[in-house]
Amino acid sequence: MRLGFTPEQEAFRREAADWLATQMHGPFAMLRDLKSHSAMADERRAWEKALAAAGWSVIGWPKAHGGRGASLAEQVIFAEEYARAGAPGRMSHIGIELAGPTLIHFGSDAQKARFLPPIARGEEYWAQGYSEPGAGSDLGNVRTRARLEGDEWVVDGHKIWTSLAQHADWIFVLARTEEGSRGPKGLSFLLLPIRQPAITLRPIRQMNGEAEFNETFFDGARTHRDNVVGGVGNGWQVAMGLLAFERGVGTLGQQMSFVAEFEAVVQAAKATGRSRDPIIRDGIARAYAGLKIMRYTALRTLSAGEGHSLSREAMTQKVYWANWHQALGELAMDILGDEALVSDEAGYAFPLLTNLYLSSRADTIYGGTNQIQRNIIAERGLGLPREPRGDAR
Amino acid sequence: MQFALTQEQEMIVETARGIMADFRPSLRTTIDHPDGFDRTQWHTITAELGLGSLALPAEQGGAGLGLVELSLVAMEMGRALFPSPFLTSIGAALPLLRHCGSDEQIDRHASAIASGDSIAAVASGAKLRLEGGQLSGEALVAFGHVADVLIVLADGQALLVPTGGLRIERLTSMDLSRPLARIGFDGTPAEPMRRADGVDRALDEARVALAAECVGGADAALAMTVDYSQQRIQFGRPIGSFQALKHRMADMLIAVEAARSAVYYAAAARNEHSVEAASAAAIAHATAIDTFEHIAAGMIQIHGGMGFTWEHDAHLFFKRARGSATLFGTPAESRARLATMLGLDEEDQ
Repeated sequence: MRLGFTPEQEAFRREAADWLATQMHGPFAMLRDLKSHSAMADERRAWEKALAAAGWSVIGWPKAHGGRGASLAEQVIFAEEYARAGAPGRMSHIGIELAGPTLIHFGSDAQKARFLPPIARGEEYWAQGYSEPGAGSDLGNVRTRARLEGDEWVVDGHKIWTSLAQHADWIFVLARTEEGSRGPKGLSFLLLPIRQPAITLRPIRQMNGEAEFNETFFDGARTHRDNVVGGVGNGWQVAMGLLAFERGVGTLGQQMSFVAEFEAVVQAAKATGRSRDPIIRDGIARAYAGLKIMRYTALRTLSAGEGHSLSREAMTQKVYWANWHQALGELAMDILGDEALVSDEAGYAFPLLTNLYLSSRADTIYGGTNQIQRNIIAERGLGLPREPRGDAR
Repeated sequence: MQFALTQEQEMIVETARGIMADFRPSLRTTIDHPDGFDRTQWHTITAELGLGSLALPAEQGGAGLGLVELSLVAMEMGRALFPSPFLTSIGAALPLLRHCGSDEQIDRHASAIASGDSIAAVASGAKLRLEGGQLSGEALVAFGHVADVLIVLADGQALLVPTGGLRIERLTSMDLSRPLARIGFDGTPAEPMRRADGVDRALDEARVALAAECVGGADAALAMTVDYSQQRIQFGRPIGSFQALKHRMADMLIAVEAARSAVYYAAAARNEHSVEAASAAAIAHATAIDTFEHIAAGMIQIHGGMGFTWEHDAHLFFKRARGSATLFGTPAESRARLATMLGLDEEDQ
């Protein structure tokens, strides 16, 4: 057992940190510490192109597709330095972390040639069309339909929680291509250009006041018949493969933004004098223990090596960090008292810790609710019996 | 970075797990013995297998390994609820001696303790007083009734006291697998150990070893609970198929894996002389003990009426967890130290 990274990994870290610091204190200083995921769209596009030009946009992708073939450890190091530098949320993350890996794994050569380079170059942005009003945790209940008409798929239906769709060029959609099919059978994974008259977006305002999500309506939306990934009727297998990518590296690098939030909580405790309250002190110590444990567990997962199936400790991470993050928001409210309830800004925008308290309610819901995660942990981690399925759809 | 066990460490785990599996069937007879442990088993793990000298430096006759290796052994002992003075004598008294004692004191005691020939115990608590080099008052001491020598912590100092002539009474102990004795001092002469600054470091090591033992216990308690929930049929289904129980056991696994991460890191941080060693020890101690108590309670609940009986082992885990929660300080005390390390006592700038 050995702590710390190798000299090569530390050199990689310095290279990333130096480049990021130069950018965040130079041409992209206006994006530093930006918390909103939807503001300053033009600057964020320019930032994606700058990342691509310097070879940092898709480091985890294979070299053949424009990446660096970076190891899991290097990807985590980059994510850590990215957050430490105060660089903004990636407008391209759905393309880079979801659409790209899916195409690399399941796509045809023609699809890879068409779609991967513009993602790597920061030129085309993606949205995810999975959830529907009737298909949340039960994703197999998708009702959006697609039928072939000549050389084109024609899509009708209604997706929801489509993050960043307002900035996207393309959307991947899980749609029912087999008439009368039910559940995971008869679904296909389609790629659609999102800017067409038959697709309508309606922003959804969240409880913290921001509008990161959309509802997306398809009324006879069209795409070429070749834009189906993994073969007609194999959408479920493709979608499940993609969810595995989503639960991979993506969550490991967020530790650094948690560190910044924790430090803000400590600062608030000192500033308000609540740092003398033994209950608050105990809460801060618990939060710190959780913060470090998330990192320790991530290090264990990393050391287990690449290509392993999700280990037991890796399965536990989503619930662990989501609960931790919510508890940190609650602790922040206890420390700040009624000052947390007001803002100097117009338009229902709140400072970091109040926003943390509100926005973290989503953490135990998206990416698999805590309840779904506990089913997964119980069934795959502990070998307990699977949930019975109801027949009524 | 390789935050995973080496081949040599895996072998230590295998050895310890094997011998603990051999001893496990005798658990009930061992805890009924007046000593509370089995001297033949003690001889096997110390004199024969050398588990007591793993973390002792080579120049003191040990294997020259560290807290990671010791913790792995403690974890296996915890899994089996192994009743023995290993944790108190090897896990706590030995590091106190090594980090606080003079060369002569170490020479006199360390190899005898490591080889199991001599059993040491640790006495501390608010009722102890040190005046003019003499101890008075009393303390509850785990395995104090079988100790040959005591390390007493009083007035911020560590002292050596032979047990001959002391008032020692083994008490009926809630934690059956780690019994306590009351030891009284009446102006007892005590031999001071010079380096008082070694106390914190030694106690950190003891707390990490204890945390490892707790993770082992929690792991075993969860595994037994999962097994039972798949055997026990109610309403025509294994009770482990009910979501109320699945989710509780999922939460138990989340807690065990978190505690295991904390223990691995704290032990490795000490082996590598990391600046994080003290805070990591506090995190491991607080987390592992809370986890063990939480899981042992869940074990009883999920075993239902059977879990409340004397015959079933669930209560042995539950009681070991509670005994551990006060052995080398409480989880809340570790968090209080952590709060101080985080700078909460400093004025805001």
